[in-house]
This record gives sequence, C-alpha cells and structure tokens, in this order.
Amino acid sequence: MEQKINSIKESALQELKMAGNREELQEFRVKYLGKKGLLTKVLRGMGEVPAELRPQLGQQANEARLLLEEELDKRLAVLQEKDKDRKLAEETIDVTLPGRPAARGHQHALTLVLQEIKDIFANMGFEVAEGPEIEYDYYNFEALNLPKGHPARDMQDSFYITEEILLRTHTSPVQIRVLEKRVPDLPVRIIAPGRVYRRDDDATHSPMFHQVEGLLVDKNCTLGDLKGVLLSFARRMFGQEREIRLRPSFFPFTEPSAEVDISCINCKGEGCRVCSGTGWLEILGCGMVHPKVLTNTGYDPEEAVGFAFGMGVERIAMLKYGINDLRLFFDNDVRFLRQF
Amino acid sequence: MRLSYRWLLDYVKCELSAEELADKLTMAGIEAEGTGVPVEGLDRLIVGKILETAPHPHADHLLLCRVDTGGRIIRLVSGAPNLKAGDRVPVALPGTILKSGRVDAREFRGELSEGMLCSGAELGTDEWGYGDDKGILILDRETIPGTKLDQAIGLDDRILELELTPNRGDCQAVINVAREVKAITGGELHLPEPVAAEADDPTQDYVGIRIEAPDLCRRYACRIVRNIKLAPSPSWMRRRLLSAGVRPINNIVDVTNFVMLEYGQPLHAFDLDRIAGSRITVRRARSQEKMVSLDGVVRELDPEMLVIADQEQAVALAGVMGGLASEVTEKTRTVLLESAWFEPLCVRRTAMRLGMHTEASRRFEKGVDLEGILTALDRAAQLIQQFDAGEITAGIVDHYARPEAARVIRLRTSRANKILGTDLSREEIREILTRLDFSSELCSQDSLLATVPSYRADIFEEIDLIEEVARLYGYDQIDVTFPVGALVQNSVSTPSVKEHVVKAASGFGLDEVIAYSFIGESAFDKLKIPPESPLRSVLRIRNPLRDEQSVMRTTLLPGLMDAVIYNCNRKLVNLGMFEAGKVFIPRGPGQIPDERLHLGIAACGETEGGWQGRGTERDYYYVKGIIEGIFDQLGIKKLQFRRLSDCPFLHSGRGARLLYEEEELGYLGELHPNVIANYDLPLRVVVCEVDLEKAVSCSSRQLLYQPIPRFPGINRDLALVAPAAVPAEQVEAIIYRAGGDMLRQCRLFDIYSGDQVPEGYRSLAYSLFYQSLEHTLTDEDVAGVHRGIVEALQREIGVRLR
Repeated sequence: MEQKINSIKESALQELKMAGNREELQEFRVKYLGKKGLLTKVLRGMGEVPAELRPQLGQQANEARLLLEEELDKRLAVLQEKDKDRKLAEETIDVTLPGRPAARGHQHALTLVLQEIKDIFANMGFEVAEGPEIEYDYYNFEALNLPKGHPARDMQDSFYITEEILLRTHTSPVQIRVLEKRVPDLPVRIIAPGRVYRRDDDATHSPMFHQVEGLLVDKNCTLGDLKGVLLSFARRMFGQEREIRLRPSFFPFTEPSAEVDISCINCKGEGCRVCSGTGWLEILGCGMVHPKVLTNTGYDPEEAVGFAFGMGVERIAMLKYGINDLRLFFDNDVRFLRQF
Repeated sequence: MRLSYRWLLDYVKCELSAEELADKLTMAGIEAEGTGVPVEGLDRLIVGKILETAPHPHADHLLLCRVDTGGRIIRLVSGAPNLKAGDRVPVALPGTILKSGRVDAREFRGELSEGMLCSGAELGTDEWGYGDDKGILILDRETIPGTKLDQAIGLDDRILELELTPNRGDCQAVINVAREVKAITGGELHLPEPVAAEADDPTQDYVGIRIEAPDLCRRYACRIVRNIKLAPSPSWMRRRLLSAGVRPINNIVDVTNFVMLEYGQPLHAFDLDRIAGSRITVRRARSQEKMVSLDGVVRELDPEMLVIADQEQAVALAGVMGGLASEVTEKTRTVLLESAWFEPLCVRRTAMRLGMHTEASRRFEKGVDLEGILTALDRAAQLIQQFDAGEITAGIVDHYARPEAARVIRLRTSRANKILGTDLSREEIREILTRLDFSSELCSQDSLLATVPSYRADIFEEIDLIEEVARLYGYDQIDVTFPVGALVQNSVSTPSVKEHVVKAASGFGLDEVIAYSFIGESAFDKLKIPPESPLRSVLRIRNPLRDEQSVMRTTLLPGLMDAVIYNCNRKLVNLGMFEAGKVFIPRGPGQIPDERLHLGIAACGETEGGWQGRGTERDYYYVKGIIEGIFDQLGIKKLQFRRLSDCPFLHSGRGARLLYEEEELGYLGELHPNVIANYDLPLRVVVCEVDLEKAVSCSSRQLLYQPIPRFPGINRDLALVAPAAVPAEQVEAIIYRAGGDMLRQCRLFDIYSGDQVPEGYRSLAYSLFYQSLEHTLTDEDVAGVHRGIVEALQREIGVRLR
C-alpha cells in the first residue's frame, strides 16, 4: 500500500512537469485528485488495510494529496504567467513612433525673461508697478531732473505726439508716478517693466524695446546696498559665478551714477568675441536717486535716500539665450517664437 | 572724442600704457578705449636703405634695387621713378598685409622681388604729410634701416577714443583730461605757460566790441594779429590736429583749432579788414536775417539765435560757425581772434535748428570755462608768434560784465558716507578733492567747504561732490551690502491679468508675438476700415521714422496680420498666434490717451498632425474654443456670441460679437475674402480681439467650490430636428431652462443635415446628464423632466424630436 502511494506520487509529479497547458493540468487533476482519481481510490481502499496501519497510511496518502495539489497550483501559476506574457508580446507597439502632437504654444522670449526678472526681484521684496507708455514731458524728463534743453535729452531721441506729450523713452517716469502716490510713506520698493520708445532704428537699436526699472527708497540705503541687490540679481539671472563691476557714469536722475557690467558669460572674464575682448558685458545703468527727484515728488532728501536702476530686457534676453540679432524679437518668425 | 595718447603725455607724466590708462579712466567715469592708432598697419613695415639701383634688363619702366633692411640685404623690383641710392624707404616684406592685399615674393619679368616699396597714398600717411600718390615715400636721411615705420615717422601713437557723458564737457580739452589723469594716477602735471611778446599799438585802437545780448554772451574777448603770413603749420601741429580728426588748413586756422582741442575754448579768426566799421556787435539775429556760413550755405536765422555782426550784417553764428564773408584768406592782413562765452542752450538750439553740430558748438553747448577765455587767447598768440605767422598787438579787449564768483559748496562727511555706505574720514575726502584741484577748508567737525575749479561747469551741489569722491575713491572699493528695513506690505507680486492670459493662451497652443505699438494708416485701408470708424481715431506721432510707424495702434489686428504675412511669405502657413498688448485710445487734447490691454488672436492652417491623422483645422470654432478656455481661466464662464454681419473686415456669415452679460468685449470671425485678397494671403484666417480690461472688470466673482454629487446620475440623448436658422445657443438655452436643477449638463455631440432631414432643417444631437444632490434618480424622475424639455422645444421654437 505504502509503495503504491509512493509510486502514484512519483509518476504524478513526473507527469505534472510535462503538462504544457491548462487543459493538461485539468486532465491531471481528474486523473489523480478527481473523485475517481488514482489517489482518491487509494484513500477509499483504506478500509481493507489493517486498523493499526491505517493512521500512518492515511497520513501518508493525505500528505501526498496535499503535495500534489500544491504542485498543481504552482504549475498552474507558472502557466498563467506564460499566457499573460504571450498576450503582452502580441500587444507590442513601436515605442519609437512619434507621439500624438500636443497643442503646445510658446510665450515670447521677452515674456519669459521678464518673468524671470520679476520673480528675482519679487523674492527681494520688490512690487511690480506700471505706468503709461505715452507720457507727459514732465514725467518723462522734467521731474527726472532733465529740464527742457538739457543736453542729456539728446541721449534719448524721442517720438512726440504734441509738444508736451511723447512716447516714453524709458521706464523711469514710473519712479515719479509711484513716489508721488506714496509720499510720505517709506519704504518704496518697486520694479516697473514695460515698453519704451526711441527714435532710432539700426542693427543694434529698435524704435520700440522693453525696460525694467527698479527703485528703492527708504530711510537708510547706500551705494553698497545697490551693489548687493545687483550682484544677487546678476548671479540669479546669469549664474552663481558671475561678478559685477560698476563704472561711474551719468544719468540726470541719479547721482552718483554707474553702468553695470557682469563678467562675460561666454569666456568667464578672460576676453572673447562676445565681450569684445574686455571680459565684461554691460547690462544696466543705475545710481543713487538724485535729491531733486525726491524733492520733486515731495520727499525730503535728508530723510529719504534711495537707489534706482534700469535695464533693457532685449539685452538680457540676448545674453541669456545667445541671440545675436535684435530684429528677431519683433519679426515674429514662428521658427524663432517656437524655440522658447 | 579722439585723443592722441602722446599729446596727453605732453601735459602729464604717466607710466601706464594707452590701454591701461584707458581702463583707469573708464573706472573713474571717463569711458575710454586705447586700442586705436593714427594710421592702421604702419607697424608692419620697416625702413629700408637703398644701396644701389640698376635698370631692369627686360623692362624699361622697372628698376632693380638692393635694399638694406637693417642687417639683411634684399632685392626689390620697383616701378617708381624717384628712387636713388641712399634713399630711406618703407619696405613691406613678404607676408605683410597691406590695404591692397598680401605682399609676396614674386618675379617681375624674370627678376625676383623680395617685398614691396610703398607710396604715402598706399600707406595712408599722405594725409599726415608723409608722401603722396606719385612716388615711393622717401624718409629722412637719418632714419635707421630696420626701424618700424610708425616709429620712424613719429606715428607710433595710440588714439584714445573717449565716450564722454553729457556732464563732462570739460573733458573735450586735452589739458582737462590730463588733469583727470593726474587726479587718478598722481602723475605730475606740466601745463603750457602762455605768454607772447606784444607790439606797442593797443588792441583797442583796432576794434570796438558791443554786447547787446549780455544774457547770451557773458564774456567776449579778442586779440588782434597783424601782418599775417599764412603758411602751413609745422608737422608736429598738423599731426596733433589729425590725431583728433581735424584737417589742417593754415597756420592761423590751425592754431585756433589746436587751442580749442587743447583748452576746450573754441576760438574764431575773422579777417578784420572785412569787418565793416571794425566794430563787433554781439546781438540776437533779426527775423529772416540771412548769412552765408563758411561752408557756403545760405542760412536763414531767427531772433532766438545769437550772431556776431559788423556794422552791416551778421558775420558769424555765435559759437556754431563763422561766415564766409569774413573768412581768413590768402589776402588777409589782419586777424581778429575771438574768445568768448556763449549761452549753452542758445548754441545748442541754433546748432540743432540749422543741423550744424560743429567742434565749436559741441563745446559751447556744454559751457566753456569763463575764467579760461583769456588764457586761450594768450596761448594762441604764443603759438602764432612761435610760428612767425603774425604780430600781436598790445593787450586784450575783454568785455566781462559780471564776473562769476567761484562756487563754494559745503560737503558733510556723514552725508557722503550715508549715501555711499563707506566710512571715509574728513581728511580722506579732502585729499580726494585736492587731487581734483578743488581747494577746501574745514568748517566743522563733520564738514568742509570746497571751491570748485572754474572749468568744472557740472559741479553745483553737495551730491555732485559726493559723486566726485565716489568715482575717485573707486566704486570697486565700496563694500557689497544688502538693504535692511521693513518689507513693503503686499510685496508678493500677484500675476497680472496679462500674465494669466499669456500663460493660458500659450497653454492652448498659440504662439505669443510682440508687434510694434505704432502702425501705418494704410493698415486700416487694407482692412477696409471705413473713414468714420472709431478705430481710425488715432494718436499721430509728429516725427515718425516712417509711414508704417506713424500712428499709435487702436487695434492689435494690423500687427498680427504683419506676423501672419511674414510667416506665410516664408511658406509657414500653419499659424496660431496671439498678442497681449496695449492699444491707445485718444482722450481730449493735451491729455495722454487711454491705454487699454487687448488680447488679439490670428490663426490659419491647421494644428500639427501626425501618423494617426491630420491636425485640427484652425477655423472659427478652433479660436472660439480657445477664447472660451482663456475666459474660463479668468473666471468668465458664459461668453455670448452674437452674429456680426456688418464688420468691414470680417466674413459677413462668419463673424461674431463677443458679449458678457450684455457688455461688448470684442469680436471673433473669419477675415473677409476681400481683406484676404488685399493682404495677398494664400488661405483663410480667423481673427479675434477682446478688451481684457473690460473683461476683467466683469469677472469680479470669486471662485467657489461646488460640492461633488454623492448620487449617481443618468445619461439621456436627445436627437432634434431644428430649422437651420435657429441658433444652437437658443436651443441650448431652452433645454437648460426646461431641464431645471436636475439637468447638470447638456452637450452637443453631433450636427447633421442631408438625407432624412428636410431641406432648411438640421439635426442636432445632445447628450443630457441628469443628477440630483439629494437622492439617486430613477428613470421616472428623469422621464418627466426629459419630456418637459421636448415639449418646450416644440412649443417655443418648433423643434421636434428626430
């Protein structure tokens, strides 16, 4: 009896290994474990075994059955896995075919750069202010310490609507408008982005371009603070390894005034074609707010000091993206627009 | 401004190279470049000495030369007739690049030439007085063979190119730049000491001066030079003038120009015999007065201009240009040298109005040194005497009614440190001012009184002194710090409407363009906009660069059309573009315009397709979907579209007015075929423009969360047959009204006309979704409402179930 159980077990296990699909496994189940299966028969025939041997043989037969059932399940799982694999293989696609085109549009390069500038200054606590693009002479020049006939007006050839109204030549009039509105509150920390216009059109000048003005007025504020703000702007915009350099310059509405250079983003200051061999790239103009500007807007220059700066957005974008032709910004060629 | 480095070194000791000096000047506020040379390429040639010449065996007009180039003897072939043994000549060895090209060793009729000899014209030295175009340049006998040519002829100079800021007019004088160099480097200054021996006859016997416009001419002085002997100036002076870009003329004129460049004081030389009555009057021009200027042009003057006149007529435009009638010529025997101060604004206005920006006007309009006027005359007299060009009469006639006292300004140490963020002592500040030739005295623990040198017309107040201190101290010496102090309330910047719209529109697949804010009025013609349209009421630019940029835009459409055309012309016809920018609506006269933020869209062709099928056509509905999407993001949910059939530039059957709660926001539609033809476009274009400021003022409602229903809903389809003329919007409105609260959504999913639909009708198929917030709907619940919808449609607009 014991031998019989063992031989059934052995041949069953052998057979199980051979089973190649679920139908064969079903046959196997019927053959060995079904109601009339071989092992079931053995268990049924237990009555003919002497009583003292029954427990031991019974246990043997049960163990054999459990083993077979377990092996059967294992085998079934393996085959099911194989079936799935086959199905997946049939569903294979060419993953290198192009995707369905998503409707992606593009923001203008200048919009992107402007956004970055705004974000950098917003992090330093500057609010965004705006002013009209068509301005009174008073705001564009007069209040900025540029009286009529001032030679510095030549620096900015203007488009006029009337004797007293013109297309603003810079974003600086926003300084006046904001200070007039805020006086006597301190501090004032704003940036003012927008379009500006100058009567100039050649390879390096566009009659319309974009500027961002910055202004900070507070009880205490120094040229050193201005350097600090501009250095951190330069580094966030153009990389942590940038250095800045302030060269004394002249603007009627700031004093002392400076032009600001950053170390060349191409050659890192050694001198190359991009920086005309100087190692430096000019990016903006700045200075300490002129006492007359403060007086003109109702602040007392003994109580309030400040700094201001202004930069050309096109210039920043050209440096940032390596664009070498100013005209590209306004041609609106989609082959340009779609790169950003 | 061009400035000779060697000339500068005549006045100040400086060990720096031209480039190093330029850098120092730049960092002190005088932007300079030091890389220019007087004549390009001279350092590439060397001096050769001709040892012997012989005729070329095979050519009559060629000469064979043996030339010592400083050690090495070479053979040259030359076609020049003027060569003989012993001559020193410029030699270009093989490999030298000349203006005419590269020099190579080559054979001329069988004879090798190891280089080339050059004429003055070939080298560009003829203008400097070296050679001509007729023969090889022959140099001094003392010149040593092998020397570089630029050294041999004294042109081994550097030209500093100064980019002066408008406040530093004083630096249009070599001497004042030298003073800056002294202040920056500490180099010793040695200025000329102008003295001239005078004849006995007093100057005032020769000429009378009358100033009728003392407001415009605060000082007028002159000297008389008699027995004039006109001749070319010596070469050193010609070289100095040329280095500054001034053409030498004759000794008298050259001296006036030289002194102007040296001291910054323009001088003018009149032929005294041609000054009627020998009397000078400084007066305003009479209206419609005419004068022929030195350049031979008849100038029409006006009373805002200042002239120098004799007893009959204007003889010079004060500070701008002399007159032809009193010009110094070969016949001139006596010269009046004028040195004066003219009011800067007046000179500037005259120069601008007549379009004559001269070396003189550029200096007068920045304000010349009132105290330097006599020095300049003395210097000119000294040079004239030195050149033996004439005799100087006794004394200067000088009219100076109200001499100006030197400006004295108080400077507080504490104030300077507060502005600069420095910790300078009073003594350090004083030392800097002394270097700049400001004399100063201490007046309190904190402050000092500084006296401004007369030539510094840009220094008026304390802050000007602080700037002087800062630029000499060095901006790079100032420590980097960060502003402290309270943050501004609400400083976190919230995105503007424009930012929202740009992000939304680009997110929906449109490309952002930026067009000029000015357009040409011809754009209105192309768009068929009639004369009476409010769009034509524009702000005009008085001085536009060109017609196409002469008025401020009242609509974004022309700019978008330009972008469409630009791309279509380059075979890029699948376009979806937008601009968010301002338009300018005139208000009353003397007022700045109303600037309104608009959004404009232009689209044509189709979206990008792929291997799974073509892209979407960019038609009316494409743009409509996008504009609805953008407005949805702005919080505006139910835009209305009303048929617009009489817009001049839109297709009469495919245009719509955009409304929100009866407020008109803009238009949307396909361009009229005539407009398409005007622009010569290859395909249909859909355009849209809305006033974003109006739109945003409508959308004040705050976004509120709507609860998500917990109970399942039921879908029912509704297929209708409606008269084709009934707008879908109307059908939908009735469905929603009749559907009540239970109807959550009604979506059109098919439109059909053709077989089985009667002529003049169309079939509309809607998918309706019913749901309740309170309970699970039953079929019976829905059936009642659904029937109600069908009945309402039938009753109100004759729409039946299909």
